[in-house]
Amino acid sequence: MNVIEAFNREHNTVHSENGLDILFIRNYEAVRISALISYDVIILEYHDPSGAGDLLNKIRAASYEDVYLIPCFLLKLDAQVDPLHLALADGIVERVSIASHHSIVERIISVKNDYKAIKTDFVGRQVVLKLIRFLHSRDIRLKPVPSSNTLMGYSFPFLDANSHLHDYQENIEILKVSVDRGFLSPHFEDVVHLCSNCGSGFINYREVCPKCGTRKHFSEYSIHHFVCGYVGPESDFFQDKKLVCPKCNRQLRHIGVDYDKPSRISECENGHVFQEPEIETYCFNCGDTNKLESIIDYEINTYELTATGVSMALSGITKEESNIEEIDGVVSFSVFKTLLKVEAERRKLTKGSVSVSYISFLFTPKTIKAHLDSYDQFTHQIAALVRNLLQPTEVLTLANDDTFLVMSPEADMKETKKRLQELSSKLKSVLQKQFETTDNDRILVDSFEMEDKESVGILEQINEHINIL
Amino acid sequence: MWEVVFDYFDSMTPDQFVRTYWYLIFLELPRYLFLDYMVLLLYYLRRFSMKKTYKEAQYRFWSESPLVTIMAPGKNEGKNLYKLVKSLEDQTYQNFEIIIVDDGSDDDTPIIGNSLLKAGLIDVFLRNEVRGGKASAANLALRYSKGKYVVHLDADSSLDRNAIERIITRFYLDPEIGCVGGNLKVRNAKESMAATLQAMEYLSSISVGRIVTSYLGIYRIISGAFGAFRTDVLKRIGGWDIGPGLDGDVTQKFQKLGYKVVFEDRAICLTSVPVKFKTLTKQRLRWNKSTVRFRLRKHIDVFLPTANFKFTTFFSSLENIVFNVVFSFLWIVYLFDILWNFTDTFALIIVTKLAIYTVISYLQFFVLIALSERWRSELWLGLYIPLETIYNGYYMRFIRVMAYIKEMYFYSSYKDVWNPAKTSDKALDHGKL
Repeated sequence: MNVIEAFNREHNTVHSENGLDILFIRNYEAVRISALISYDVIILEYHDPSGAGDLLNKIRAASYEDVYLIPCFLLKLDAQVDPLHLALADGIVERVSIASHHSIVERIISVKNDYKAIKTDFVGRQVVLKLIRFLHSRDIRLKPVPSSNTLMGYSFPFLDANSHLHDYQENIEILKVSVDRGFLSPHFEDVVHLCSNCGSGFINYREVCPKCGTRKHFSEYSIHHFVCGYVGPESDFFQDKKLVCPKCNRQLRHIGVDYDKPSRISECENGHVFQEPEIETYCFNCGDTNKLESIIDYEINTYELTATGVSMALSGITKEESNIEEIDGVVSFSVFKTLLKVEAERRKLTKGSVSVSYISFLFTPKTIKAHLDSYDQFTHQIAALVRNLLQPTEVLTLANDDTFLVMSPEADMKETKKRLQELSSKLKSVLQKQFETTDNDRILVDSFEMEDKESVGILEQINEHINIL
Repeated sequence: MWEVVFDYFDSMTPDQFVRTYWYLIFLELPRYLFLDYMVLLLYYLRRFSMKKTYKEAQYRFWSESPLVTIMAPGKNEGKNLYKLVKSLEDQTYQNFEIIIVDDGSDDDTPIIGNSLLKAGLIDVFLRNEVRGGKASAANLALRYSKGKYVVHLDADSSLDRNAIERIITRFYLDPEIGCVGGNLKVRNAKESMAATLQAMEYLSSISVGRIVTSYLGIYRIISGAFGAFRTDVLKRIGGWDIGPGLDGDVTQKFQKLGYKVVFEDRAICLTSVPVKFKTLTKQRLRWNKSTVRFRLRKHIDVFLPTANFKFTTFFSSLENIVFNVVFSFLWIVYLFDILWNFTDTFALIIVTKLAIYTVISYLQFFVLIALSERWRSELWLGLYIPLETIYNGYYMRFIRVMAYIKEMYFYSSYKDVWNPAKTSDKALDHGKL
C-alpha cells in the first residue's frame, strides 16, 4: 500500500492513494466544508460520535456535488458507529486506506464527474435532486434507520441532513413527491403509529376507564365458585393466603374442580366497572391526549431509484420548464442572479441598499396532492398573486418549486421585513379562500440585506436557511 | 248425542254427581275459583281503599329517588338487548344503572354489549368467557351493583313505561318488603299455538295465582324475568344459588329472613315464551322439578319447629306442596278412579269436565279482561279458552307429575343442561344444594 503523508494541518492529514487525495480528518472543527471540494475521498476518525455526526451532516447538506457526494469513510476506533452516521458514510475502514472500498470510490468519483458536465434544469426541491444523485452515485437504496432521536422513530439521515427546518414532515413530503413523480419506488419495511397532532411516534398508550377517563384503575380475575354460584373478584376470596368463598365459607382448593376464573374485571378509582379499558394515546412530544383511532398509521419504506429517477439524476431534467416568466415582473432564476449582480455593482457605486427576501411555501402533503396534476399552474397562480402584492420596482423569481426570491432595490430593511410579513398574511388569507389551504400550510418569509460585495453571498446566506441552491 | 248427555245427568243423584266429580268439587272449584276470585275481589277493594297510602308511598319514592340497578344476565341474548335497553330508556323513572352480563355467549352478544356500552346505553357490560350458569351471571352483576334496589330482568323482556316506578314504589308501602315480583305478559302470543296458550295461562292462572298468594302473604316465586329486590338483603344472602329453580329459592331465602314478598300486578313486563311445545315441556319440567328440589329438600326446614319458624313461610311452602305436588298426584288417582269405577262413562265424564272447565274459564276470563290494562289486545285470547282447559287441565298436570317423579327419584334437575355440569355436579356433591 502506497500511503504517503503529504502534510499535517492541525491533525488532519492528506494522504494519497492510487492517485486520489484522501483527507483524513481527526480534528472536526478544523474542517471547512467548502474546502472539501479539493479532495477525492474523506476518512473520518470516529473518536467523537457526536462531532463526527455533525460533520457528516454538514457534508451531505452542502450544495455542491463535489462536496455532498464525496466518498466518506469512518475509521472505527473504540466507539460503536451510530447507524445514523453509517447511513451518511460510505463504509467503515480499519485503517487510513480505501483499498477495501476501491470500487465504490471509483464509481462515485466517475458518476460525480458525469454530473458536473450536466447543466441542471431542475426546478423542483433541490433536495430531491441531491437525494437521487446520492443514491445513484452509490447505487444504493434509501433505507430508514431506527432512531430514538427522531419523532417518527425512523430516520432518513440524508434527508434529515438536508431538511432546512429539521422538520421530518418535510422529509415525508419529499419522499411522497418523489414517489408520485416516479423517481423512487417504495418497498415496505414497517408501519409506525404517529400522533395526529404533531406526527411524533413517541406515544404512550394508556388504558383508561371508558367512563371517566382516569388512568388509575386495577383489574382482577373474577372467581366463580361452583358450589354456591358466588362470583366476585379474587380479592373477595383471599383469607390468610387461602381462597375462601365469602358466601358459603368453603375453601377453594382446585381450579377447574371447585372454581374457575371466567373473566377479568377492572374497577377505576371512581368506582366504574369495566372489562375493556379504553386505549388513550398520550404524545410525549406535544402532550396531546387522544383516542386510539386518531393515531396515524404511516408506512415506512425503503426507497429504490426507478429508471426515471436514474434518468433524472443523469440529466438533471425533471419536467418541462415552467413558463412562469410570462408574468410581468417575474424573471427566471438566472436572470434574477444577473440582475442581482448588476445591483451589487450599482450598490458599490451609489452606496445604496439592496435586499433580497425569500417567500417559501411549505404546503402540506394534502395541499400538494390536491394540486399535483396542475402543480405548474398552481405555482403560476401563486406567482401572479405574489407579484400583485409587490412594489413595481421589485423583481421576483422562482428559486425552486415553492420558494420565491424578491429583490428590493433601495428599500429600507425594516420596512421591507414589515411589508413582507404583511404580504405573508395576505397571501395566506387569499390562498385559503382561493385554494382551500389550511393553517397547516405555512409561508416562511425573511429578508436579507446585501452586505458583501458579491451578489452570490446573499444567496448563500438565504441558502443556509432554506436550501435554494 | 245431547240425549245421551241429558239422560246421563238426569239419571245421576247428587251423591253420584259428587262421587264422580269429587276432584272438581272438593279441590279445584274451592281453590281455583272461589278462593281465588274472592281474594281477587278483596285485593281490588283494598287497593282502592289504599289509594292515598299508595300516593304517599309514591311521593316518598320520588323524594328519595334511589339508584336502582337493573341487571340482565344471560347467554346468547345479544339480539334482545337493544329492545330491552330502549324500553328502559323510556321509563318514567330514570335513576338506574344497567348491568348486562354475558354468560359465555358464542354469538355476537359481546360485540352488541360492548357497542351498547360505548353508545352509553348501558352502564356496565361484563362477559364471562366461560359459561357459569344463570346464577353465577346474576351474582356477578350483583357484586358490582350500586343501587339500593336490584331489578332482575330476562334479556328478552321489555317493560311498560311505568314498570320500574311501579315495582320499586312497593318497597315504600311497607319497609318489611324484601322483594317484589312483576307481572309478566306474553309478547309473542300470536307466534304459535303454544305461545297463545301460554299467554292465556299468564293472564289467568299465573297472574291471578300471584295476586292471591301475595294478598295472603304466601307468594313464593319472584320471577327472574322481572323481579325487584332490596340489594342489601340480596347481598346478605349471597345472591342466587345455582338452579334450575333459583327464582323460587332466592324468594324462599327472603321469606326465611322475615321479609315480605309481594306481587305488583301493575308493573308489567312483556316477555317471550317458548313457541314450540317441546321447548315448553322442557321449561315446565325444569320449573316443576325445582318444587321438589327446593321445597321438599333444600328448604324442608321451614316445616320444622325451629327458632326460625315462621307461619307465612310454612304456609307458603305448604300451599305450594299441597296444591301442586299433592293435587297432581291426586289427579292421577282421580283419573284411575273414574277409569276403574266409571269405565263406561269415562269419555263422557272427561268431556263433561272439560265443558264445565270451559264455562268457568270464560267467567274468569271476562273478569280478568275487565281488570286488564290492555284488554283490547287480549280479548282475542278468549277464542282459545276451550283449548286452554286441555292445556291446563291435562297437559300441564301431566308435565307436573312427570317432573316430580323425575326429581324425587332421579335428581334429574342436577343433570339439566340448562346449568353447566360443573356447577350442578358440585351442588349434588355438597348436600344437594
